[in-house]
Amino acid sequence: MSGVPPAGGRPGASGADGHLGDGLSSLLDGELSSAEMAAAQRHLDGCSTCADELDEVERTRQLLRGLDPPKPPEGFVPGLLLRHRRLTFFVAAVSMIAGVVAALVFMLISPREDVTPPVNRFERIHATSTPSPDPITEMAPAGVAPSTVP
Amino acid sequence: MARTYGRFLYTIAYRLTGDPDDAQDLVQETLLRVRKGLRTYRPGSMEGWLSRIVTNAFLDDVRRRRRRPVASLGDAPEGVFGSVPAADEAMMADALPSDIQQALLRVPEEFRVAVVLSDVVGLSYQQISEALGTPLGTVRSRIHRGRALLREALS
Repeated sequence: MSGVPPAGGRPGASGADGHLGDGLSSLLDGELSSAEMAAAQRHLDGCSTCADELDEVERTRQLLRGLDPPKPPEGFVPGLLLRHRRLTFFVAAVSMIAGVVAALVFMLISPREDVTPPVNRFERIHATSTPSPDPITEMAPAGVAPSTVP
Repeated sequence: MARTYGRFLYTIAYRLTGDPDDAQDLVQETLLRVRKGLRTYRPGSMEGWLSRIVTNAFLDDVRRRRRRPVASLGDAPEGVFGSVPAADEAMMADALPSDIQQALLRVPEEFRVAVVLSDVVGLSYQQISEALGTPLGTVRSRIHRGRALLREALS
């Protein structure tokens, strides 16, 4: 390996066979430090194998970089938007239905407590008092003579 | 999102899958993941974030298909997944030379993803490393090896 330093932190910058290896792509992509770039350049000056491979890599690299973006099928973006709206509606509908079902299930399976009015207790309490012949008089405030009640 | 980045996502998806229908499905899956993960987006490169999602969705699909062998894998050379589009499909959906796209499909997915993120999307090695969750040295190696494989496929 003559040129690119072994650089402990950048093992990919040099090939194990003494050539630049994947350091060639790194060089073309601007992913080498200044020192590594200078070392790679020195190596290239004396190594026709790496120089030839650099040209090949660059040609291949430019093939993809030079391509125009593929043209999406007709109606691609509107189709995406439509599907997105449908999905949003579907998710909202499913959420609502799930909420209603959950509420119904909860109502059906939740334990119901039977309400038992304390009828017997009230009967006992009221059995000791004498029933008033006149409920209005019974409700009159203290100090008000029954006769004053119309 | 779909309006702004739809074509950007389609470009990556088409380069990775090589098929217009698969590319559309991949974009749709990506948008679903974007919708779920929008809260996790941190200010930065939207393209980098979307690239990560679309490539991960692609690789997840590849892994899923590998776990569940199907007839379509049987004919793929050396386990290479992905159907080569018919010439008319490629011409219809792709303004690029179809032989380059077909050659790209013959590059194994892990290498193809690295090359596409570098040469189609234009991400840096560091961004690719973060997008794929792969060490920087592996990214460096995959990009160089992927280009070599593409060159072989073209020759």
